[in-house]
Order: sequence, then C-alpha cells, then structure tokens
Amino acid sequence: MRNKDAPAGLEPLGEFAETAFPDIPQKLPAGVRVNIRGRSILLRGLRLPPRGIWKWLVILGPGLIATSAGNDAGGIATYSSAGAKYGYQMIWVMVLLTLCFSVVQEMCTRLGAATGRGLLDLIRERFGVGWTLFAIVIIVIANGGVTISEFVGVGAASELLGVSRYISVPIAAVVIWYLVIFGSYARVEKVFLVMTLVFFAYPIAAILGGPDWGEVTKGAFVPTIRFEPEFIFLIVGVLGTTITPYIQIFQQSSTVERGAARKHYGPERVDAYVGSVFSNLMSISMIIATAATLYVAGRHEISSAADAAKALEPVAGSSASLLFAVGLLGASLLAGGVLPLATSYAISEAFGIPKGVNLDFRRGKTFFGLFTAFVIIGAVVALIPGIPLFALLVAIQVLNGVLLPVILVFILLLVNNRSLTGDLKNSLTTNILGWATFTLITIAVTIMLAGQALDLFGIKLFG
Amino acid sequence: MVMLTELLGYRVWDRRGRHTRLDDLCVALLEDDYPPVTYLLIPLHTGQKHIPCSEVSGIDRKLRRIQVEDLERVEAIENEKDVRLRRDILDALVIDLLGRRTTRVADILLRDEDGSLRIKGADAGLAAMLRRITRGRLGRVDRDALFDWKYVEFLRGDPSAVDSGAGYRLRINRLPAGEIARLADLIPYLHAAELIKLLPDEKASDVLESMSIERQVQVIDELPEDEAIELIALMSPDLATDLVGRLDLQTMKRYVSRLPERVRERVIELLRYPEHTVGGVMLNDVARLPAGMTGTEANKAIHDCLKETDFTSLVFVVDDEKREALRGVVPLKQLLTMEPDERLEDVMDPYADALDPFRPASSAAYRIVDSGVAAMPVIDNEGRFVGAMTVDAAIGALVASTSELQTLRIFS
Repeated sequence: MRNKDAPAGLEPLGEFAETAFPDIPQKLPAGVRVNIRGRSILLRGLRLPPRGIWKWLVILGPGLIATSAGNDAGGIATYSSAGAKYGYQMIWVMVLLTLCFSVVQEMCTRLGAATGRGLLDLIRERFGVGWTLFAIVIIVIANGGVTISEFVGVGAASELLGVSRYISVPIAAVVIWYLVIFGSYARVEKVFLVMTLVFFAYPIAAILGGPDWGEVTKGAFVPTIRFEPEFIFLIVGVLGTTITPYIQIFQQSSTVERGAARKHYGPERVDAYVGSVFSNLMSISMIIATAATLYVAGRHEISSAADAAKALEPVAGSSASLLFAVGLLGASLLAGGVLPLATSYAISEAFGIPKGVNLDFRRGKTFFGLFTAFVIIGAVVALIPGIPLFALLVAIQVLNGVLLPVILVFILLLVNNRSLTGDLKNSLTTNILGWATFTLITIAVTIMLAGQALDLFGIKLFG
Repeated sequence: MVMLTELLGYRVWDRRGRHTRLDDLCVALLEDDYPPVTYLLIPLHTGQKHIPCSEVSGIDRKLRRIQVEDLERVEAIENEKDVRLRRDILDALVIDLLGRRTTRVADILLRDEDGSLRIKGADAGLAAMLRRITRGRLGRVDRDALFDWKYVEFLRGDPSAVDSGAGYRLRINRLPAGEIARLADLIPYLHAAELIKLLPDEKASDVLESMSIERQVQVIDELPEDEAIELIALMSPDLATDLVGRLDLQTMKRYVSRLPERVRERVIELLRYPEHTVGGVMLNDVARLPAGMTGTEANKAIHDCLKETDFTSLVFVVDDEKREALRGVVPLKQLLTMEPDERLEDVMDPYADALDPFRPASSAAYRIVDSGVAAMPVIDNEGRFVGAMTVDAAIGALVASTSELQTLRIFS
C-alpha cells in the first residue's frame, strides 16, 4: 500500500514502506455517482451546480450590478427630491417603472445570451455606421459626464464622513482602476456584487425615518397625478434616471463576457428581474426615507445626494444621515466603475476591437486604455473647484434623453429579429410591455426636451 | 480603384437613358483570392434585380455613373446565399489574418482587373466610417488603414451556415491552432462555433484544446451531438475531461458513453479526481513499457506509442506482469539511444518522485518545477500507476489568476 507521505524519491518506486506517522485522512468532495454504460462510477471531477442558497446567489451578476449602478449620485438626488417634495405620492411611478425596467433589462440580457454580442456590436451590424456613430458620440459625452458626477459623489460622500475629497477621489480612482485592470471578470463581478450591499443603507434609513406605512402602501398602489409642471418634470426625471442607456449597454456586454449562451438561457433572466426589482426597491427606500422626514418637516428642496444626506441629520438623526452618506459613497464607487466599463465596451464593440475585463493588457490595450482614460478624466475633473455640476447633469440628461428612445427601438427590433434571437425572440406580452415602455419614455423625453428647449428662449415650462 | 461607399452613390444608366440607383453588389466569394463582383443589384418596380457584371460597359467616376447595356436585361437570382457587399460584409466582424486581429469592415476597396471588378482590400478605419456617413465628402482613403482581402476570413455568426453550404475561404486554417484559438476567444461564441465547424476535424480539436475552457463549453454546446463527440474524442483525454466535466450532468453522461472505448476509459479515470488536485490536472495518456523490454523492443514499441500518445518526453516503465505497478522512468532520449540488448529496467530511474492523485495540484506543481523534471508519475493509494503530472500542468496550476499574468505583462 502506498503511503502518500512516504519519503519522496528516496525509496525505489513500488517499494514504499509504511512511515512512522500515519496519513491524515483527506477531505474529498463527495462527488456524484453516475452510471455510464452499466458501470456505476463515483466522479469527483465534475463541476456541479452549487446547492442551497449558493444556487441562487451565483445567478446574480450583470443584472444586479448594472441596475444598482443606476442608483448613483444623480439617482439618489432625483429620488430624494421626489420624496422631499411630494412625499409618498411618487412611489407608484417607481412601481410602474419596475415593470418597464425589468422588461427592458431582460431583453438586453436575452440579446446578449442569444447572440454573444454586445448592444453596439448589433447596432453596428444591423443598423449601420451612421446610427453607431450617433450612439457612440452621445455615449462618450454622456457617460463621461456621468463618470465625473460619480467622482463628485465620492468626494461629497467622503467629506460628509470627514475625509477630504482630495484624498478620497484619487484613492477611489486608483482602486477602481486597479480592480478592473488587474482583475478577471469574475473577480470584478464579485467585488461589484459586494458593493451592492451598501444599498441596504437606504431601507434602513427609511425605517429609521419612521414612515407611515399605510401612506406608503397607498402611495405605491394608488396613482396620484398632479397637473403641475414641477410634478410632471420630476416624473420625467425619475423615468430618465431609472432607465438609462449605459445600464442596458453594460448589462448586455457583461452578460456576454460572463459566458451566457442561448442553449442555457434562464438564470440570466432571473438575474435581470431580481436586479431591476432590487434596484427599484432601493430607489423607493430613498423616496420613503426623505418623504418620512424632509417632506414631513417641510424641507422640500433637495439639489444633490449630499444635500439629502445633510438635510436628513436634523430631522432624522445622525444615523440616517450617515447611512445616506455611506450609501452615496458605495453607489458612486460602483457607478464610477460601471460607467467607464460600459463606455469602453460600447466603443470597442462599435469598432470591432477586442474587449473584456478578462483580456490581458497586451491584447486589450485599447479597451483598457479607454477605461483608464475615463477613470482619469472623471477623477481629475471632479476635483476641479467650482465645476458647474448642475449644468453638466442637465446637459447629460438631455443627451441621454435623446439616445434612450433610439436605443429602446433598436433593442426591440433586434430582440424581435428571429435570425438573431431564434427561439429567444420576444413573446407577445413582452412586446406589448416593451413598446409601451418605449412610448412612455418617448413622451417623457419629448416633454423634457421641450422644457429644455423652451428654457433656452426664457420660457419656463416647468416653473 | 474605387471604394464601395463611393460606388454605391453612383447611378446605373443604360443605353436608352434609363437610370436607377445601385443597391448592392454580389460577389463570388470563393472564386479567387480577390473575389470578383458578379452582379449589380438595382431596384426595379418588381423588386430588387440582378444585372450580370458582363453587362457593365464602363464606370465613369466623373459622372458617377455605371454604364450597362440594358436595365431590363436582368437575371432572376433566387439564391439567397449569395454574398452581398453592403448587406453581408459592410460592418461585419472579420478576421484580419495578417494582423491577427478582429475588426469591423467600414469600407471595401474594389479594383478593375482583367475586365472584372474585384475586392482587393477592406478599410476598418475611422476615416472610412466618416466617408460613409458623409457619402464620400469627408474621410480620405488612408492606405495604412487598408488590409489585404486575400487574408480576410469572413464569418457569418451562424454555425448552421456551414452546413447550409455557405462558402468559406479557409485561409485561417494555415494559422497555428493556438493562434486560431486566441482569435476564437475574441469573437462572439457563435462565430467561434462556426469557425470550429468549418475547420478540418484534427485542426478543430487542436483549436478547441487551446481555447479558454469557458469558450470550449459554449462552442461544444452549439455543435450537433455527433460532431461534438467526434471532436472530444480527438482531444487529449485530460483536456477532454476538463471540458466534459463542465457540461451538465446528462449531457456529460451521454457524450462520455458515446466516446470511443480507449478515450472513454481515460476520461472516466480522470473524472474520478477533483478539479484542483493532481489527479484533476494529470494526463493518463502516457507511454508505458514493461521493464523487461530490450532496447530493440522498446524502440519498436515506442514508435507505436508515438502515434497515439501526446506526452512522450518521459517513458514510464511498469512491471512485466502487474502492468499497473510503476517501476521507474526513462527519458525518451535515453530510450532511443539504448543498446539493443539492454533492458529498460537497467537504464530506468527507480527513485523517481511520485505524486498522490488527491494531493492539491498547486503544491505538487512546486515540486515539479523545483525538480526540473518534465513530469512526475502519479500513483494512487492502491499502488496503481494512474498517470503523470507534466510541467505544463504544473505551470498552469501555479498561474492561478489573470491578475498575476497582467502584472507581468503591463510592466514588461
């Protein structure tokens, strides 16, 4: 009998003597017993799907990350503003949006799995170079702008926590950069997934605010429409903040990089739905937290996420304020990584350049170069004192507003193309929901653009 | 020389003064290294029509005209499989074999040669994109951005296209398997599956072996079962084991049951060991010869072994009767230079270090690298010689993550 601790190479092969110390029994995976051609064999070398809670947790990935990144600094400001200004009256919008958002995100996931291609890959192949360049120009400008706002968010949150932005922003940029450049996709995904835990700060803040749950339920299921310009503008803002092109781009590209395939499509769908519902529940928590405190206290004006955190302190206590600040920091860090990645994916797909976090630096020079450039620009510009962030965010909102309906039409056309998606083509229900979402978004964007255009001529459509 | 973007802006005129726009161009993709344009596609009231290129009497670049004999003289082409430049190739993902890269075609260079218009090159640059959206007003042709069409592989992104008779140039087959695999890792998985389907089986299995394991699984999933099993059977058993070990349980059982017996037994044996152990990374398709063999016999036997065994740097000497008992190892070079009457047991090294198959692969890897041997035999707890862990497997086990690789590359 061979003893595994026998003196290696010191006895002739086949003549292993027992040693003075017996083996410690090894812990081996249980394996699975299978019957192959009438033989029952215990196989330990199979990669079996995880069991128990892990079976569900491993499903989570691109869907949860992409949708959570949407709850970034701009998102927090918009949702907080909705709660502070109109209490619980806008929660129903988020409930309705959850349905639309889930449908759109699931379609992108399905497209990625069915084709193995990113959204910009497909736009270039099916709609040509003109639409591709149109999308790319807007994506680069808008995502570049949002990246800056994320680093501004990191700075603002860290200052609320007592750390100077001149320390936190460079550190955040280096950490994000290092993670993506030196990590594999699986590692990046794990870190991003862990970062989404920070969003639980918002439900806790909402509970600490002591809301009237009866009113919350009413706000969620009884639609309230106030025919006031500000109310409508805020609905449009909430819509535009929730459904944003970079979320769709990132979700599809990262689904592809994760290795999803059409023959095993299913878990990705769950990820898309769970992500959309989770992210919107967090958004609703922000509305509830500010509605229960700021709205009740009569503090209706919120212009940024940091403002919301500061305003919470006197009315909801330092814990709620601290939770908002922590949430803002985590959200900004997550989006600070996702946005440059989404942009790099989009550009690489449009030009047929090798893409992916899994590439080594030599093969993915352009992809990683783009990512690096966006992180550096975002962090450096965010540190410029007196940057007109509000004007920047308005401009970004306009650009994203122009792009969003176009992207949605492309998604709907592509996902209905049987030669691309085969059996994963849209069902009638998904199509109805998809086109309804498109209509809703287009109306909202038209209202927003009209408001912005009239604003240029000094006419205030929205007060 | 004319760019496709420019040509598509020309009008097609006939002798009777009738004119229409040019919709697209059909090419005989397989006819030549530089495929000739076969038909012009023009819109007519009854739909899109094909005008044979033989009808073209001239191209006037100043007047932006293509002159044909008679616009009514059209051929009805029902074959939807023909390759059209605008529809199929513009914006498609192609492989530039010279540049060893994937890119998207933004414009196509055509040249009149021997009376026919031929594809000479493709342009993937930003200037070409600009040229297209401005209909040729902006974006000059940059010669550096052009690449030779002779070395372009065009894939359709649909594995079933191979079976339906779509033509391929297959110049990619001339690249080493490793390079094809790297390219296949960079393209969408459906393109990769298409690429594997169109390669000859031997080459396809070599390419499959060199792909990332995730891509291997995606590709195998896309192949019809018979083809998938055929390719797995051609793979080295240790790599085939890694692949089938990742398939879902039912598929794995079906595929393994249908493998040829020799491969099946080896794969089943390897599947017994957990993934990150010595058994999980070892190979069991090694040359084993009985200790009593003479130099002449061993030379003849190793000649037969070489045909079927991938790893031959070391020959494992087993007991004459109990073939599962390892007695020693002999390097191939030493075996080939043995005296004809010498026996293997006289030249073998009986003190070779051996590994336990359930030992963690990473710790065994250090022993292999430190020892400087090509492989170490693996002996199970019943004393059976079950395989060998090679230095390649050791290096693979030591390079645990891409981050370590990238650290080396980025600062190199």
